[in-house]
Amino acid sequence: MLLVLAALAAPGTAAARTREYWVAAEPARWNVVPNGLDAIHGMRFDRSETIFPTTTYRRYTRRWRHPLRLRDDARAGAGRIPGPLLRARVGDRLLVHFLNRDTRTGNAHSMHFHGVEYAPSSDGAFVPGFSGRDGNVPVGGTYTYRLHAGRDSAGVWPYHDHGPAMAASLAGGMYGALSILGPRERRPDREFVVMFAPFGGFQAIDGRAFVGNTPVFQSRVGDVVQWDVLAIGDEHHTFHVHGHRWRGADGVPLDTRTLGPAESFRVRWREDAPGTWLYHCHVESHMANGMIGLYRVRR
Amino acid sequence: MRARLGTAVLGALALASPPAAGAAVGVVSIPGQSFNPSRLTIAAGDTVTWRNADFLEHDVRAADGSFDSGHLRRFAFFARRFDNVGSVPYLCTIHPFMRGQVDVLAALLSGPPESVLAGQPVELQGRAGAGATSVALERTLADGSWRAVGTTAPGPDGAFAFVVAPDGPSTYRAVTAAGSSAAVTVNVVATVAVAVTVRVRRQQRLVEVATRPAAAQTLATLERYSRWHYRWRPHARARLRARGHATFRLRSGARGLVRIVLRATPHGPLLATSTPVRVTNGKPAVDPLVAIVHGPMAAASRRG
Repeated sequence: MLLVLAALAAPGTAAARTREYWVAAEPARWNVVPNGLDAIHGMRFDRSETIFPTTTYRRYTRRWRHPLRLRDDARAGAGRIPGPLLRARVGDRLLVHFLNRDTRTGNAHSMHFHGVEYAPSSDGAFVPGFSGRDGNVPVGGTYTYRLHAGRDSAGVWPYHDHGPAMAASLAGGMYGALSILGPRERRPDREFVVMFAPFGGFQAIDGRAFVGNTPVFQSRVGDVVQWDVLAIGDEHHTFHVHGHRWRGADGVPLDTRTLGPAESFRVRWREDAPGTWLYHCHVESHMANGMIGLYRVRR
Repeated sequence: MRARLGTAVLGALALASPPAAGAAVGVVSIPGQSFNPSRLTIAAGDTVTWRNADFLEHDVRAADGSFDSGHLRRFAFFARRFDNVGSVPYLCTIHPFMRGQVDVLAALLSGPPESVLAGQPVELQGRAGAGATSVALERTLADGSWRAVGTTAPGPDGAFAFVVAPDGPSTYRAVTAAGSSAAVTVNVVATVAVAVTVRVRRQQRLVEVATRPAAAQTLATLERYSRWHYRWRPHARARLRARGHATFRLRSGARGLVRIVLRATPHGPLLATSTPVRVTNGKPAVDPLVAIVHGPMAAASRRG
């Protein structure tokens, strides 16, 4: 009985385990503004301005048999841009099996992970004369990255293509987030990925621009919500959520926090503010050009 | 090309189950002292049969003397195959006031009997005269000239069909090496009126759709407005019945705005959009997107 109670008290606690993910890079036609509208400024866009051929990560079932679209990923705003949300807990081993299916460009690709421990052979960066296949997986080729969520890995981290075509890949959305819980940390009720990165001339969150296109994150009063905030690209962004505050590492309340390229952090609170709120980058020109979304809290 | 022609040939196919080539497709009855029909249009190679149903004797003789049935008693018949394109007047020499005519065309073509919606695919069916190996579909241009918009090979029986989606009233003809069919005009209406009513039943709300003109077979999509996504999202689809009606069912607790959009095919161009209505009471509403897109800059793209 005591053991059962202990398990209920700390539902997140689990023995270290090996987590396997099957991911492919594959072509997509991506619409940055699916509703064709900047609703706040009353501007319309033609589809020809907002649809781009690109290549993204995509999660698959074992041995890449079928594409895998998880409800958790969809709720978190992840899946294609950003790629699948890879979850782990400190102590876990991660095996990320990667298949390059990018027949669109024919480029070699890779996966490079921040925040976790790995041998150089799982770095995923292309370095002529040094790196192996991990940084340069050709079309049709596969590679398994062997990672370890170490003591310092708790948090949220980006992963992205670091192959020879990295610049084009990142502009096209080949990035995603790793979310690693501490050894005894409780999993949040809701987890939202906010990935700031430009796309197709827009300032996008999760590859979409403007309210209604960027993820409409949803929670209920009482939920523990976790925001995984990351940035990719050349610019700094300031993450801001209306009607909410959280504590920084020094205990000081915040409602806006800055991050630069490849930086990431997570923010948690217990939801107590019902309503429809904005979240956005507070760099004004970024907000005006798409980095803004809706957050809906129900009672 | 499509915009300039105002039409597109979406496909051509040979029909599968037609009468055999050269079959007696034309029957002229002689019920009394007249031919019925007195004027008959056939394709080259077709056979016409005259059947005397009168108590009196009659005959059928071409005005140019090219055929003569001889005397036909009651219930006797006479058949004649017409291979050459052209008009053949004939008469009954016993009763010379009895006159008729067979019009032999290189091909027959027929269009929809009623008006169609702009952009809605319609099938033009036809039959080519015997020996035709290729049929072209031509459409009139603004200056009255004809322009080919598609070709197909007729089936063994001469049958063929073209699918067109005219965006305005259009006149077509089928052309073979031997000549052309009569012109067929497809009447096109630019808009269809879509009426939406909501009826409340115990367990559900019925959204009833009626179209005028009846856009039968057109695909109606019930869209619901998502406030959080600033867009109309498809909810359910149905083909309009023969009279241009369809009914959608929503659960009784459904709220918000719905509207109906019509398309010929799932991803085809929009043919019509209804006024939005409130699911709760069926009253018309203003499209929220119209209210959102405001001001003189609205039409211009900010990135243009």
